[in-house]
This record gives sequence, C-alpha cells and structure tokens, in this order.
Amino acid sequence: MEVKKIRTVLLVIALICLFASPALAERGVTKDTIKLGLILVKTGPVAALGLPDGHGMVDYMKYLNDQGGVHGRKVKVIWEDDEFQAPKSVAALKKLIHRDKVLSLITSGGSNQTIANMKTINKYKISNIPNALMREFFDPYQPYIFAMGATYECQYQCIVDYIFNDMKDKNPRIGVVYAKKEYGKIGLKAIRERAKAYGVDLVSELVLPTGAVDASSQVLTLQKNKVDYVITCGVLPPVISFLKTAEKYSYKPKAVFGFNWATDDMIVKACGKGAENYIGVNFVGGWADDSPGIKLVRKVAEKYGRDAKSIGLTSLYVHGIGASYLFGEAFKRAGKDLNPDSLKAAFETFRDFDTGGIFPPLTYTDKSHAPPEMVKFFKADVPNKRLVTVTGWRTPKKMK
Amino acid sequence: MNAGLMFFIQLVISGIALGCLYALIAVGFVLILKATDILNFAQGEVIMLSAFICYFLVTTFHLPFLLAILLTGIIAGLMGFVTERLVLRPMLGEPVFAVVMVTIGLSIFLRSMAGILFGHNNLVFPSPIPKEAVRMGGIVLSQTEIWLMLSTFVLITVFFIFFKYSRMGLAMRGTADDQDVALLMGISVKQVFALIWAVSFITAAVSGVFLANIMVINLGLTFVAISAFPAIILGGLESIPGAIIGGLAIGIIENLAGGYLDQIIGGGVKDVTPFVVLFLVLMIRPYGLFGKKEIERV
Repeated sequence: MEVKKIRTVLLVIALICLFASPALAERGVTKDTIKLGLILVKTGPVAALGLPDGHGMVDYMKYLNDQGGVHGRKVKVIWEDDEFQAPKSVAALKKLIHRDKVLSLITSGGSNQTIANMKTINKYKISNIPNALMREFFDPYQPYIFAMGATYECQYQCIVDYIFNDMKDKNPRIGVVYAKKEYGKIGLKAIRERAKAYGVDLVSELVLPTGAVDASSQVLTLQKNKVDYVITCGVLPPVISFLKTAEKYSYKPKAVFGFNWATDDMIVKACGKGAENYIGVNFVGGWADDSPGIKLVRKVAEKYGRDAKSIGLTSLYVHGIGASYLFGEAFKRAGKDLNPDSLKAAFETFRDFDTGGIFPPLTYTDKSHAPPEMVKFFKADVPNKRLVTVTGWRTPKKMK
Repeated sequence: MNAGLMFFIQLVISGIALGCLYALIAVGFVLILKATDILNFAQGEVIMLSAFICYFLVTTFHLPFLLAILLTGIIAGLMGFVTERLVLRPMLGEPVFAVVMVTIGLSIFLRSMAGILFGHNNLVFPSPIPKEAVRMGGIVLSQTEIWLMLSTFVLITVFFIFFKYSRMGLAMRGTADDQDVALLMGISVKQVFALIWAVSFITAAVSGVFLANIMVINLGLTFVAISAFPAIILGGLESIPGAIIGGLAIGIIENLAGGYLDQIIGGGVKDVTPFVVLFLVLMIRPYGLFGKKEIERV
C-alpha cells in the first residue's frame, strides 16, 4: 500500500514536470496570442525620445494583427515605463517576465537599462533590440541582444569622410561641439582619430551641455578660430540652441553636422533658415523617403491616426516601426513552434534582410548580432521644413 | 576696434543677456525666500509650466502673443495664490525642513501634471519676435535678448517702486524683516505670503515665456532653474538687488569662461565656473554680496 502511494505521488510529480516544461518554454505564447513586453521611457524629461519610438513599435504590431497576425496568433504588447532609470527598468523586466509572462521584449530601452538587465535577459532568453548604440551590446557577442543602428564611431567616421570626399575639402578646419555624455565623448574621440587619419587636427573642441540656454561663447570661439565644418555630438535641444545662436551671429560654416539623435525634421522646424547648412546622418530612412519601407511607415501612422506633428520625432517613430517589423519577420520565420530559442534562431537567419529602406540591410548569425554599420545623409529642406535624404546607405571608408 | 576686444565685449554683452534670464529666475526664488524663509524647489516647474501655457494659448487658442503673455502671468499668479493657500498655509509653524520637502513634492506633482496636460514632445514656440539680430557697432544682440533685457529692467523697476512706495510693498518688507512685529503692527501676514507667492510665480512665468522663445519647450526646462542658484548665493540669498547683480555676474562669468578657458582647459569649464564661484562665495562670504551677516549673541 505504502509503495503504491509513493508510486502515485511520483507519477503525479512526473506528469506535472512533463506539462510544466513546455509551458515554461512557451512563456508568453498561446495558440492565438504572443505576449511581448516593451520597456521604454514614457514620462519625464526624456519621454520625447521614448514615446515616438514606442508608439511606432505598438502601431506596427497593431497593423500586423489587423493583417491577420502571425501564424494565426495576435501580438499583445505590454509597455512598461522605466522613466529612463535603470532600477525601474530592472523592476519592469521582472514584472514582465514573472507576472505578465511575456515571451520577449521588443526593446529593453537605453544603454544603462539594457546593461542593468543583461543577466536577466540572458537567464530568461529575452531576445530584444535596444534603442541604444553601445558596442558592448554586440562585442563580445551577446546571445539575446540584437543590435540595430550604426555605432557612434561609424556615424562620425562617415561624417569626416563626407567632408573630405563629398565636399572635397583637402584641408578642412573642423571644430567639434560635444555633450559631456557617453555619446559625446565617443563621438569626439572618433572624429579626432578619423581627422588625424586624413592628416588633419581638430581646430576646436568645445562642450555644449544638453540643457544649454545659449551657445554664444561656443559660436564666437568657432567663428574666431575660422572653423568651417562644425560637428555636433549632442541631442536635438542643444543642437537647436547652437544653430539659432550661429544664425544670430551670422556664423555660416560650410556645414554643421549632427548624428542620429539630432537628425530629425524637428531641427528644420525649430531653426528655419538657421538650419540651411545642417547635414545629419541616421541609420533609419527619412520620413519623406520614397522607399517601400518608409511608405509602409507613413501608411501605418495614418491608419492609427498619427501625423508628423502628433508623432513628434518622426525618425524615432520610423525606428520603432522598424524594430517591430524585425520582430514580425522573426515570428514568421520561427514558425508555429514559437519559444525563446526558436525566436533567437529565427533572428539569426537574417542575411542582408531588406526592410525596404527603414533600416539598412542587416545580417544576424549565431556568432554575431552586430548592427549594420551604415548611415544615410540628410540635408535641410528649409521651405518644406524637413530633412531630405541625399545619399544611399554608406559605410566608413576603409583607410590605409 | 581690434578683434580681441570685440570678442571680449561680445562675450560680456551676451553674458548680460543670459544674466538677465538668471536674474529673473533668481528674483522668483528670492522673493519667497526673503518673505517666508522657504526655498521653493518647484520654481523650475512653474517656469516650465508657464512656457507650455503660453505655447498652447498661442497655438491652440490662437491668442495674440502679448495677450498670451498677460494671461500666462495671470494664470501663474493664480497658481501662486492657490499653492500658498492649499499647500503652504497648512504648513505654517512646521519646521522649515518639512516645508522644503513639501515644495519638492509640489515640484514632482507639477512636473507630472505638465506631462499629462501638455504631453512629452519637444515643442517649438512660434515666436513672433523677429529673428533678425540687431547690430550696434559690431556688437550683436538678438531681438529676443533685447526684449528680455528690457523686460527685466521694467520688472525690476516695478518691484523697486512697489516695495519702496506701495502700502502692500511696505507690508511685505515689514513681514520679511520680522513676522511677529508685522503681526503686531496689524499686517495680515497670511495675505502678504499669498501675494508673495503670486508675484514670485508671475516672475517665473516671465522667465518661462522668454525661455520658450529661446529653447525647445519640454519638461527639461525645469532644470534651467538650477543655473540660478549660484546667482542667488552670490547675491546673498534674501536680497533682490543681490539676485539681479548675482544673475548678471554669473551670466558674464559663464560666458567669459566659455570664451577664454574652454579652449585652454577644455571639458566644459563654462558650466562648472558658476558653481566654482558659488563654492568660493560660500567659503569667503557665506552671506553673499548683499546678504546680512547674522550675528548671534550667546
């Protein structure tokens, strides 16, 4: 009798284990839904960056659902606001995994947040696309981080190449205004080294804080030093302050350059004629592009009642749509048997995957999740208050 | 005039323009501090909210710019009254630390409300002030800066006349000097406090409107208020003329440091310099340029 009881208990335990294992493996996936998390800032001073990105991600998933979903499953997105703070991001990920039981995250947010969550991401096999551009995300290889977006080094190398090759200036006087943030320091170093490789030293290196009210001393110093190419390593608000101040002093360098966080139509809307000589780089297609991918972006926005004005930073909305588009494709490739492992494996089948101009063609393998190191150049179209694409995808020139 | 001298003068002039903005913000802080001994940590939020209010009055309700400024000022004044009545008055008699904590709570509340009411996007103010800069003998000033300097001058003159000659102004000065004596003299201290908060919020609204014309409007505008702290300390915490001179001095020092030291030392000396000044002032003359040295007899 005793032995029979023990056998029954063991059998029950074995059965529980048998059914529990696949349930764990298929976290967030049922026969008709896929639950996805999204950790991105929604409130506070940085929300202007998180909201358009997140709206793009959510809108594309809605669009995918309206098209019938993927393999009969509809995608449900749960958006957690981390207020751009790593501790809140850590708590949000725990909630998404343990309470909401999501399959994965579309994005884990910014650099600090993703780094803070790295252990959990690896433990629970959370494939995600951070909306930040750190080399540490793919070098060394991180199994569940799929980096998307040219690194700051790449962007600034392309800018310096542009000065020497497109603007055909053999001895340019280059000045840098940078924010004392990670991207600013990386940018300054990359520009300095790239200019050196062309045999040129930087004329000025000046700090322009993110909350700069006025850039008079920076502009006057650049003007005094006869700098004719200014490269900014800052986000939109300080770059707008800089361009407005430059216009005030009639300082007209041959070009003022900016990287992805400052390449948005907003710059032309805010500065008008002051943005005439502005050239930006970005790793997403421009809102006004005629490519199939960007047409899709505009179509999705229109379908869900958004226009450029209500979106805010359109370049980030494009990024958001792009990130969800990649997830949609990965779901299709993963097939009906969707779980954290099959999702990762599906991403790793991307070979020169074409997003129709939303992102550059991208490749992920089981050994590398590095982003495509490519950018496009944009110039200000002042009468139409927007940026227009002036080049195709470019990589930094190979130097001897 | 040689280029070096022109460079110096231009830095000083643009420093004065920037200093006027700091002075306006600093006066907002000092008004409350002087009368009530409270450092209002929600002042930056009032500046930011005023910028948003003016933006929406102009863009959504299509009001003329001047009317929008007037209405923004009135709304800010009412906010000041309401804040004093609902938030600060119940704290009368409580330790200063508790009151300061309340103003920190108020700042969080106002920031959240701004996000809910006005959204989190970067907004560009359709400034009616012409963009063309004014040139005077090689010195350049934007028209916004000229209006900012004029407004600061007018506001300070109005304050001067109000505090010196008006009955309420005298009551406010009396209250600031000694609340108990003011009460004994029949001054309604509560009424004075309410008015002080309203005036301070109106001053913050003026700086908010100018900031909206200069910068992108977003929730980050609140942080500009921090830039005024060195001006307040330099001027002497409770002195309105001190706040003005402190603001102007910090604006000029900041610009000169940016123009001359940033190139040599690097690393953003411009932004650190005001806080170095603050540190030095606290060490050498803790009561500031115009503050009163308190002597306690034991």
